[in-house]
Amino acid sequence: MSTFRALLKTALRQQLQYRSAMLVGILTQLVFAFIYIMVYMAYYTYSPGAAQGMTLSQAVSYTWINQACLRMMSLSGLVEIQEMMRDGRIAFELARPADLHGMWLSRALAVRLAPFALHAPLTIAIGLLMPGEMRLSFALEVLPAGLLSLGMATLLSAAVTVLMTASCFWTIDSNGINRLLPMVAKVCSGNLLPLAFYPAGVRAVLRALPFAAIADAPMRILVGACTAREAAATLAMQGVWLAALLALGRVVTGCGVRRCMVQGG
Amino acid sequence: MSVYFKLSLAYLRGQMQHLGSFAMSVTRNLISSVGDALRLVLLGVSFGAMGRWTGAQIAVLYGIITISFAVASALGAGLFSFSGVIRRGDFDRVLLRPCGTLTQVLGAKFDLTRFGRLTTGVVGLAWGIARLDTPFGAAQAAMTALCVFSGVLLFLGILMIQGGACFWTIEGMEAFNAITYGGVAMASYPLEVYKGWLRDLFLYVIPLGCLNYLPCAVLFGKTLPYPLFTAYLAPVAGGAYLALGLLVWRAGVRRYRSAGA
Repeated sequence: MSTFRALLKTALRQQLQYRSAMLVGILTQLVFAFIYIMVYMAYYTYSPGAAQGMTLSQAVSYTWINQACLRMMSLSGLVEIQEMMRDGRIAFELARPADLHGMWLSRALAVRLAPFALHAPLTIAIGLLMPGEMRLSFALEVLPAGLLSLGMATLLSAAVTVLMTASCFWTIDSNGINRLLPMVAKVCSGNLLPLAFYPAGVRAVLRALPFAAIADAPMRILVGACTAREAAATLAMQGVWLAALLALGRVVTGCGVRRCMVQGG
Repeated sequence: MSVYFKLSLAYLRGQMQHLGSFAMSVTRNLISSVGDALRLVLLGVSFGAMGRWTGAQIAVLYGIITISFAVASALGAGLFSFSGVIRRGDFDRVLLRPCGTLTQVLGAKFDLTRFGRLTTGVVGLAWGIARLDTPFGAAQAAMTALCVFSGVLLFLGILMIQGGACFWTIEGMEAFNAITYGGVAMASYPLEVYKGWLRDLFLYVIPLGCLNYLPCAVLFGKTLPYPLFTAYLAPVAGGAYLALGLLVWRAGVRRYRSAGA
């Protein structure tokens, strides 16, 4: 726990170093939120009832939450660790007096939480203050479930980050996984577009995958685009994926360390 | 001009030395652009037409703006990463050479990998034109080509402003992404979709609407809430922005103080 606290503090401080970049990042997310929301508003006006399972207000709220959490919900490996694997500094990482998988998980969690903690409040506040149809509204009756789901999504995102990092024990080169997986995830998770707008068959498949558990699941519950029963099923699905990916991460990291060869001198 | 071609050719030859890496960069650019296109397609499939704009007509809007941006960002790739040149003090060397600064900065990086985006743009435009229910002959094709050409000029102008701004500050340059990438995302739909202030911003301040929305509305026989002549303003908008870009760039170069040794 103290490891995690130290890593989180470092990650937060790192984020705060680049304040102008952070503000610009928030601004860009706001611009895109406005564009998407207005496009959805036009589509809902002209073809009401075309999207099943999501009202305009829910789609708008989904977009606000998505833009606020984008940095937390998008995937990437731990670049600094991957570089260590390439140039041999990984030896230091292995020598640290902490459980490797636990440490990487803490690191991943810190890297995901720091930008979220700094970006989300402002975007959410602006969303809540918007007038009329563009306002962000949470489904208050299932808010606890939504927040629990968001927490699990964060852990899932960290678990996948660890897996992506550990894959470099085998590939050494991190380019492939760091570039390809985030794009697949973007399309499959709901980050590109609410999964409610996908054709029904595709949507059913995507909702069962871990990508959706990272983004679509919490957002759908938070905006109230599902029944209480569906919310419970979604939480259970997230739990199963979380347990599976954490266990897999543990095994993969263990195997990786055993076959790891330190490069360089 | 000949210096520009020589520099670009040298850069291209360099890129082609690593064919595998080049192919991967093109693919990555293509995939990220396919993602944007997928958003349009999925929304079109779910919702059908957007009021008086059919899916095919929206595809034409998307095609024009996407092709313009793809070509401009390939030509102006050196301007995207210009803040690095300033930070490292590399611009000193550019000034020393007996040749225009813009020629060197643009020529230093003719980035063909950005043509991944061109592919989705061309596919979108072709698909849209093939499915139009209004006649599309030589005159319409010429008008579309003119719009794309003007679009390249306009985006090049924006990139020059982005590059030129680096002479004042190299912080927060990502803000321009909201204009370029955000503008492309936005102008992929008819501008009448957006609320007043956002629409006015992209009609009067950054006139992306002159490139596709206004001319296409006339091409597709729709009534416009604006005077008819506005449909033919694309070259004016493109030229004006290019001129503005050049002015900002010149002013910036004059202001340059070296940061390096």
